[in-house]
Amino acid sequence: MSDRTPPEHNPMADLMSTWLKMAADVGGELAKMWPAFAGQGAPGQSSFTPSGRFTEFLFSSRKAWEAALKALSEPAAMEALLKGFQTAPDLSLRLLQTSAEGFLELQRRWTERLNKLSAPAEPYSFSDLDSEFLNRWTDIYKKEFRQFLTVPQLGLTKFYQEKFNQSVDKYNLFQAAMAEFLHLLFVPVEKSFRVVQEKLTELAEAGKLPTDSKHYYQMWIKVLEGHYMTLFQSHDYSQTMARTLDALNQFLAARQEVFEDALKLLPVSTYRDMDEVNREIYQLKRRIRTLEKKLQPPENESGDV
Amino acid sequence: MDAPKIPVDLILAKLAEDAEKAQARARRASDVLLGPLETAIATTPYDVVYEEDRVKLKHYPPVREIQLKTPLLVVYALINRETMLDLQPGRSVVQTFLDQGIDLYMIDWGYPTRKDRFLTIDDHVNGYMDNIVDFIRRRHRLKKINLMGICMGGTFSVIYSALHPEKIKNLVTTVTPTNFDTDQGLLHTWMRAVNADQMVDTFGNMPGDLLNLGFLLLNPARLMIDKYIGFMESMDQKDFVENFIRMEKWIFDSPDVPGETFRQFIKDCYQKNLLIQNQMKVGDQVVDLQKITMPVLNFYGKFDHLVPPEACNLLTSRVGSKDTQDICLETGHIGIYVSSKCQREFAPKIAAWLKERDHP
Repeated sequence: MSDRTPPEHNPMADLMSTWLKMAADVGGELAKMWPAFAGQGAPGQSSFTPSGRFTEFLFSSRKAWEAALKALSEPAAMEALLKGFQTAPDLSLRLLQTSAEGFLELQRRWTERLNKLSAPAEPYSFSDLDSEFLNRWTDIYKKEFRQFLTVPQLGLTKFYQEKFNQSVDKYNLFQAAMAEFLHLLFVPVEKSFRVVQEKLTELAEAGKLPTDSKHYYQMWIKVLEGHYMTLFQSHDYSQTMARTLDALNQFLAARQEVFEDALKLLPVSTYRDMDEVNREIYQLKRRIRTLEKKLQPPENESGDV
Repeated sequence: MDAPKIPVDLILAKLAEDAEKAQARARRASDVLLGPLETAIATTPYDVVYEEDRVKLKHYPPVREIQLKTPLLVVYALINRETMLDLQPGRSVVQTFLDQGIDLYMIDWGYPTRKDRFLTIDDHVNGYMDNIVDFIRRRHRLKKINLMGICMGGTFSVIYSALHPEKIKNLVTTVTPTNFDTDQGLLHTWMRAVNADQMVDTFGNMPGDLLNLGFLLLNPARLMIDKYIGFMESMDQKDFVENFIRMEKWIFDSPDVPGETFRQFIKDCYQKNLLIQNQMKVGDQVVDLQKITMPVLNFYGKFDHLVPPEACNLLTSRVGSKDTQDICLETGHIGIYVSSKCQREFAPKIAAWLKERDHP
């Protein structure tokens, strides 16, 4: 029986340990994928053999990565690592913990996605859009970081600072929405590659692989077009597009507010000033047009006026 | 011995052959691209006979004796430019109309600037269009003229004809959306989700480049990838390159759309579908399609992905006119004006239809 007292249960240690395991999983999955890409996983096929140096490098990196993570997962190493963290202020710790949880979730999803790569592709279906994948960071931002930008400002520069913070906030939200939209646009590309890959496998097994590279391209572009059509008709796409446009509009409007403040310091008219003038000119012109039409003489029989 | 399942030797041989061809093509393409290219569009001579703010009225001098007593006014959309009707010699609706002896006028909406953001559909229809129609009527001493609308310009022409039927002799609508309650076209689906108020409040005018990006996204595989792969494959042919660049010039020449016009078009048409239900209000008047009593010829494209047949083909059944005709061509939104096949089926048909109805 050991006389060493068992370490106290530390939630941060659990978190770190889980994260390290996840990181190892991701690294492992990535390393496993290489032979498949290189064609080594398809027996009977003429495969491209990667250079020995690169394979050695890849596998040694994987080993080193796993070894390093394993070492870090040891309770003693974990305790040492966490000692540093415990000295940090509470706020930093909270932010770190939240971020770690977020990254943990992201990594879990990455691992899931890597596993999905080996699953058969379902043509023209977008039921598994995995939209939460990118929403995670947005959630963290909204729940944990955003409130720092909405802290009430004080003093003479209160309104200027608030507008600036607002534009930073809207920019972050726009970036998140844009990332989600771009991710969605890339989904058909990813799916089309998988479908074409499967089609090619079938053709290869049947000994019917086309010899002309144009056939491969035509096959891919047709599948890609079909996937895009399916995506674009989905409710998810319309909603994501609308959200992205909303986020863009909100960011541009907030940025404009900051610009207007800056322009006030210069002898330059702002959009707001010019819009007021333009609106007045527009209304005057409309009134003139109406009066002109009222003053026009009536038409005669031949249409002369 | 069985043939190998993967004919690696044949694939490699074909790849090598393709590589040689590509190299030779690149050499020839270099000569083509570095040499002189005829890529001008809208080259048919015209005079600007009327101007109001940014809007111009083009008049094309006749190239033969005028065959129709009534002149034709063509109203293009506010999106992209009317130069599409005169893209190149041999593919020009303008030239075909002139060859048919039509006295032709066309509105050039110009490039809206920030000051134009408050212009509504009412300003375009009851303002600019009405002033132009009156100008042509005065110039020709006529009570009525012929009106032809294209896409959004067609919608404006329908509204105009309903509000001013006494000034229009015949109405021709081409790829004109009037029924917006359809799921056939992606644009119709997407526009329902767009917050038009927020867009207009933010941008002022709707940026043409943003609209163009939206159109490209309707079919990115073809419009952003396949189109340019096709260009690479034929870029050693001078005629092909010239035509391709002409089309690119037209596509990406996109004026902004005045904000208030965009707001009303999206909300009243795409989102509430008021026009076809006789509930749309322009200025202080409700647009009643039953007041369109002049002959109506309605063209649309079977494969139009922007304005699908379902968006166009209700019009003739809703107008008050007894003389109506629908013609569905086997082409898309732009093909109707520029494809070689439609050059024979489209403009000559309009000219013949107008001639039949040119009686005093």
